Amino acid sequence: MKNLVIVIAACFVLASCTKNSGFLENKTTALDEAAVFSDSLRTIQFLNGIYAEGTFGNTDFAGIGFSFNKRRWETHGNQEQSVDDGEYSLSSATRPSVMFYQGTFSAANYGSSPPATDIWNTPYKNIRRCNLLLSHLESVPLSAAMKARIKGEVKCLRAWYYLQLLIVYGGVPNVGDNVYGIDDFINLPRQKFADLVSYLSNELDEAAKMLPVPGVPLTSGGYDDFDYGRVTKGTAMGLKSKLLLYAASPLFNGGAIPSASAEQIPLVSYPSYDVKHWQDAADAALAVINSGYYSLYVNNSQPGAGFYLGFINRVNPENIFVVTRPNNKDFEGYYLPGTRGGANYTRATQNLADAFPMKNGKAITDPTSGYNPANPYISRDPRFNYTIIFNGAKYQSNANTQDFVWTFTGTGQTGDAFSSGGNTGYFVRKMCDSTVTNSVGASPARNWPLMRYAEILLNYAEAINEVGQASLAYPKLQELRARAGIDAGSNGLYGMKPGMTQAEMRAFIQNERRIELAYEDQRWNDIRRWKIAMSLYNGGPTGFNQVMHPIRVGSGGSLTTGVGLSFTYQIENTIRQHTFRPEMYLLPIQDAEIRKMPAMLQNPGW
Amino acid sequence: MKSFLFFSFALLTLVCTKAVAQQVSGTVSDSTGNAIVGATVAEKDVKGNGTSTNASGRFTLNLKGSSHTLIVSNVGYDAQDVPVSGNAVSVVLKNAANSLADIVVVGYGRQRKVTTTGAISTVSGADLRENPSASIQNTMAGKLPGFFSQQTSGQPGADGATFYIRGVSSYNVGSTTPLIIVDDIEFSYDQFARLDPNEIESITILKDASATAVYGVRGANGVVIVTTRRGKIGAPQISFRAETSLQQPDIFPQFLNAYDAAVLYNQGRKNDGLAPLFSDADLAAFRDHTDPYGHPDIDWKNVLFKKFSRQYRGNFDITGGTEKVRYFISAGYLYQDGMVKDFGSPLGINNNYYNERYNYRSNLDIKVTRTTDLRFDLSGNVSTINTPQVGSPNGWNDVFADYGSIWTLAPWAYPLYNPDGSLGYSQWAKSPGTGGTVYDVNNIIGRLSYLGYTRRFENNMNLLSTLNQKLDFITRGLSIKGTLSYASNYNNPNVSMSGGEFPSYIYDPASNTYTPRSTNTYRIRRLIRGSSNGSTIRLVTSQAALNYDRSFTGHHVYGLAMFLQQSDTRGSSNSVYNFIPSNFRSYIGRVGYDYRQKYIVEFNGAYNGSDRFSAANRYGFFPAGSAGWNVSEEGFFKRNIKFINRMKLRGSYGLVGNDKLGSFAYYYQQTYGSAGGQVFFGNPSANSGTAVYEGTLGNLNVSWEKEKKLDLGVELGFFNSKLNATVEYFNNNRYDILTDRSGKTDSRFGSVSAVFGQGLPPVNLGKVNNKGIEVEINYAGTIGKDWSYSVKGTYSYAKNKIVFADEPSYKYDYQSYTGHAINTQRVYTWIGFYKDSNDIAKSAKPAGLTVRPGDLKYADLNGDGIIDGYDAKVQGNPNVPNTTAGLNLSVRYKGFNIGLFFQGSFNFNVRGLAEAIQPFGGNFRAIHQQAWTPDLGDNAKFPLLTFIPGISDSRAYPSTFYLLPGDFVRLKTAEIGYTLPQKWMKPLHMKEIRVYSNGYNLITWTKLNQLYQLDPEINQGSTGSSGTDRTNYPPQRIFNFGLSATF
Repeated sequence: MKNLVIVIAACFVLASCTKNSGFLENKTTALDEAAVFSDSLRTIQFLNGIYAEGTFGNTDFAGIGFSFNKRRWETHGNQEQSVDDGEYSLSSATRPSVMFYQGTFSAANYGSSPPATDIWNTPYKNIRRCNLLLSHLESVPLSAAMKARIKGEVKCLRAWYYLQLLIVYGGVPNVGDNVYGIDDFINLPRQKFADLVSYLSNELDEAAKMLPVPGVPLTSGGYDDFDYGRVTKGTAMGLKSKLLLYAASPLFNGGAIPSASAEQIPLVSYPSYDVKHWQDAADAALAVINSGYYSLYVNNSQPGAGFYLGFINRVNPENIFVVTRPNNKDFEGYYLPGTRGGANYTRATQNLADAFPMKNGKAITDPTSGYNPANPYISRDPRFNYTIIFNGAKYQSNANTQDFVWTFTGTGQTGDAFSSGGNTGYFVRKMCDSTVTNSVGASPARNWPLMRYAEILLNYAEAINEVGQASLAYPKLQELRARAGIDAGSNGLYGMKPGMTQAEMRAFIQNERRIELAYEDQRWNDIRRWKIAMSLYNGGPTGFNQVMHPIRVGSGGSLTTGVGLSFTYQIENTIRQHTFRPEMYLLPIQDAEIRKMPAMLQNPGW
Repeated sequence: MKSFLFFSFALLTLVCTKAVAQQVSGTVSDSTGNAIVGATVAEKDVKGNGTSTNASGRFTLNLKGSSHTLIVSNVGYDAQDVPVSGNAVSVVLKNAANSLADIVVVGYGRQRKVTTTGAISTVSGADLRENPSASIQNTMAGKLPGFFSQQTSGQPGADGATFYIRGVSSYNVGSTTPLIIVDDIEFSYDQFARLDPNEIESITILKDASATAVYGVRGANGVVIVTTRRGKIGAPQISFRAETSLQQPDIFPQFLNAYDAAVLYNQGRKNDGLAPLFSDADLAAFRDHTDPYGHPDIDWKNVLFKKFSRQYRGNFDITGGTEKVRYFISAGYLYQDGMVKDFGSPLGINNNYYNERYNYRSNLDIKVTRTTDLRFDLSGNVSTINTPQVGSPNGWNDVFADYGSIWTLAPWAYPLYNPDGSLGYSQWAKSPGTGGTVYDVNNIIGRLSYLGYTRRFENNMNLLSTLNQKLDFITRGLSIKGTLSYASNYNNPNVSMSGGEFPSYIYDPASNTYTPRSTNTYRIRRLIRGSSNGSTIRLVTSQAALNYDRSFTGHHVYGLAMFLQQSDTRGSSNSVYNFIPSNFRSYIGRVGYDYRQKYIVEFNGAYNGSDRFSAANRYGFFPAGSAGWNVSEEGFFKRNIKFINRMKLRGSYGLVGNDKLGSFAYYYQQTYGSAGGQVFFGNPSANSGTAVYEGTLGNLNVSWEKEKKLDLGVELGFFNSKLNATVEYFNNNRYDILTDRSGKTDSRFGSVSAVFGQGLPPVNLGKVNNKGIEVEINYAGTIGKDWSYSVKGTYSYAKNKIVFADEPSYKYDYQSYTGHAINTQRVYTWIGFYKDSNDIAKSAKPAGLTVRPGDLKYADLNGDGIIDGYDAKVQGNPNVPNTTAGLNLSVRYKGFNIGLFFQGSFNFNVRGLAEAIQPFGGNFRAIHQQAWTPDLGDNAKFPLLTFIPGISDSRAYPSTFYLLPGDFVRLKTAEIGYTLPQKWMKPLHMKEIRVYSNGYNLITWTKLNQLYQLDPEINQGSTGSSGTDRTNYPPQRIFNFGLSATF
């Protein structure tokens, strides 16, 4: 009897185990495609995801700022450290920035890890998001006006991502509005450069029609304050200016390198030079200027203060396209010297320091400029002081005082001292808030500038000069230099030589662009599209960046007051040799990608 | 004492009994209380008077002689003389000493070895206890054919080896680990490592399809089954064991002194055309130690690490039982100290590495009725693992990383203390070369004293109850069993005490001045407490099984029908799956038959459902068939081949699966992610906005990995089983390996371009073949009465090969991973050094890089004159050995025993990079003194020393120069013990006292040391391309001294 009871009990246990039929069913309540696109709020949040820059290192949120993103600087190095503006604090040969300047990358060994993968993958990931949203937009419960605005935003953002690819690779596969499913077999050829440019140009025109005018409130069909940071009509126009300027540039305007095959040439450039492209670029830039949406951020509380303050104000009239960030110390952490708690991953070079003119606007190579190599930091362009920390520059200290930063070696040298290992004698402070350090003080409210009005002025000046109308470039450059705090001079030309030839003007604009937009993710792209990287790196005596080694003479004077000190300024080469070969004007598409889509042709020379 | 009295009483009654013919009846059972069927019961001294027990273990016999003694015997048990004093006796037979050899543990049951057809290996708990290592898997290496392991760390509490059964058969990370079952409860690697060897009866590994098919979708990687000790009928027996050990690093780099290192530093600078950093005066000061403050020469190994660290272990157990209740109760304690010197005392804290663990177990068997058994086990452990906080650069927080880096602890880094007793620092340490300010970390003594610790707690508790009911009233041999288990593992809660800044000073002996390292630091910051909650892993398993086992004349039939389901609930970093139960259900069947133990067939199968897959693909059937033939039981064999007393041929073939594919997820479902704080629109202030994004696409057809396993084996016994051998061949074909075609999870594989724009779901595509052989030979013999000895050898070879992995079609075939073993690396082929400028001019070299004489030269495989990624070839061995062997020698003389155990692993590579080998990143070591110079030329053992990262860089140009065979042979353990003579025991009222000493990792022979000075098993990184990039906590050598006593 007892046995029977137990048997029944055991059977009951067995039965109870098998009864619950849902045991292996889905138990989560995860979001899915239907849930997202049947809901207006989630749809807008999906749109946000196309912008999102998110947490550093979170590849799910590599968004509009991916190219600007400091994630690369943090662990891998960014292109700005591969050019003549910056030296990288780390030197492992696997860091992409090191590979960039050494020229050791190839299609096979470059691109299997971030940020190399980011350069190719991130745009396509976001392009897919754009297409996915477009494919569902009709059925989302939103007003027609809102749908139109979203459509404009998506088209503008999609063009931005393609533009990032075009800058680096030339023509790339255009997926159109397709959203691929897991059974789709994709083997897309690269789109011809000219076709991609006209596609993007049209897209940006369309987007501009659908997008609100900046500064117009919601009630009048614009954006609410809440939406500040979304792309506007002005953004679409600005991107078009950038697109056409790049397309007209020497690298793309009939500038394929000699080793390019007949099939490769139309993929990477317009097959032949046409000055019309410069005219288009000038027109596009002028359209932005004439729209009146934007102006330079001028503040003359100190000479050129507007140049500096623009970077630590979330909102200013110069912003065309920004990554809106919460209050942050992104740049203080990356750039500042060790005594200010920064990691100084990028350190400024002597090459960049020499590019800045004097306050009178004259280049330091001009004998009349007043430049003194034995005391090189006085009376310089105010932008110099806002970009570079040099030996004896005063900067906010961790004790909340304006203290000297000393990079000299010799008696009393500090932790910031130049050392043969890797320092350059300079630090970067561009975009940093000089009232705080990375260790002390409140985080400033700032955005990352992807495109600001100064760039449009430079775009216009460059394009119109190439059309042959150098004189039209002057006013825009004067405007820029005036804001920079450079003395107007008796002729009101802010130190510019009157009546420059096209070639002189070209060199001038290239230098002006370098110093105005330093460390804003421009230089590496510029020296490639101008096709000057070859002579910049391989020409001259060395191929090495130059650095400043200040040496203290004796031990007289006071390091606290800065009085009575004596230095010699010794310019040296770094130990890092830069190499550039013609094929490096465009990056190779990583080998694995070519293997996966054999319809794609590799870039010339790779 | 009690037993002593009982024994005397029994003796007394025996003496008083008169000799008259009598009928005796009784029962014969085994030590677990189960009736023994067919046991022989004979009267002593009366030939031919005997009988055997019936199906319920009962017998009746008329005694005819005068001995009044029965001899009770049965195969697999020690025969026993039983004095008869009345009409009824109850006999409990003990398992024969070598019972482990006769009974084997199989999935959900036990079988007699003679009729087992599966590939199964077993090691006894006693054997494991000869190894003093704190983690149980470290004691298994080399003992079991088919068991491959690598101990990558010696850190207390984290020194358990990773291990595989028959190597790895999937390139899918996270799906190569075997299933670990401890008394019907599934354990993780970590939980397994914390088992107390004292609780273990045996560990069995199941290798082939026949043995693992009952585990179905979870059996493909093999199964480890741990059986714990249980009580046996008898008086309480109390055992006590105490051990203390000395630990020291097994292989640990010794870096050069300041002078030698400074010379090399200058040499590197000279090579780069730079002025020397150290002047001749500096060098002299380093060499002569004339300026201990300005030019210190610190032997950091000596400063930071103890010569020996301690380990203590204690065990206590009580076992015994009556026919109604049997028990095994045990408690264990382990304290494993760290090798860092104790600097924590100024703040009164213990911030050294340590691992403290308490284990407990109570195994009860209760006979509820004559046919009903109840089993109730409670076991678990509580452990604390302590790690110092050291504030190393780059977030390592690891004193070993500091030790290996020239940027943090160069031999000249700083004096430990200044003359006034304050902590020292130096200008050098403030800006240590290219390391940058990130390496400007304070005095290590101070950091070890003031920065505190992180203390992690683990709490594992397991409950298991089983009810077994015999159903002989339905049909004989039938029984039903129900099991319910609950395992809870409170995982990773921790408490930290964190310090902060503290002052140190740069002392200038010339001016006798002290400059603070940081001008803003005046005092030592107090410790601040932090804590983080862990989370609980909860595993509930229920089983119900019908068992049938019956012998008819010559025929033996057995079967198992079982239902099992398991639910695992745990936290996940993926919020979608956080505390979502991962469920599994299985219907299991086994049918077996043998005829006179001669011809054996068995079928196993499992019908499994796993919630990771969509409804249509949720269930799968995993069958296996096996057969065996005991040739030695055949008459012709017995007549003709005398020296072989046992020979069994067996084979099995079947299908098993693997649903462990990394972390738990519903693989068929596409989920959209949502996260706040990703966008910050707004004017004037940033409003944190939420972003929604598309997740990896779903694959409705996704299913588990499958493996077809073939196994052929021969078991041999020679000379009356003095010499035994097992030889096994296996051939496993894993297919449907989940492969991410977009290459997002593993960039080596996948054929879909990133232009697709989204991660692709895993698809069942990949194929891997894994085959090999295993040999186990043992010989046991005696010389005279007092000497006995045994020799046991194991050899395992398991070679895998990727057959298909959806790779892109490479330009050159040698770039493809397909056809190679899993995790073989793609590296350059080193062919020597560039000799001179002539040689450089005519040799292939990388574009854009200055190559100098003394740089490593690689083969230009595609012949284009340029060394680039296309010249890297998949070559060498992977990081997991494909061959492992063990040799056990033991000798006994009276109470003495000596054992030596050698273990070796072969055919694997170790690659070092960054601080593990690179000069000017890592500290200088002896090999750097043989760096290339024009004088040394081709006799150099290391490339040109340089600060400029170039072609000789270990990370950027992984090559065969840095990829070295890790092959090693080790004296893994050795033991010497002495059991005190029995005659001394009686007066002490004790059963046994034994003193012993044993050791672990005693001697290692490896060539790896020539370059790396690292333990060959320390090989980091399980995915393809990585290697060892720094020094870390080395595996330990252990000298152990122990005493055990049984009352």
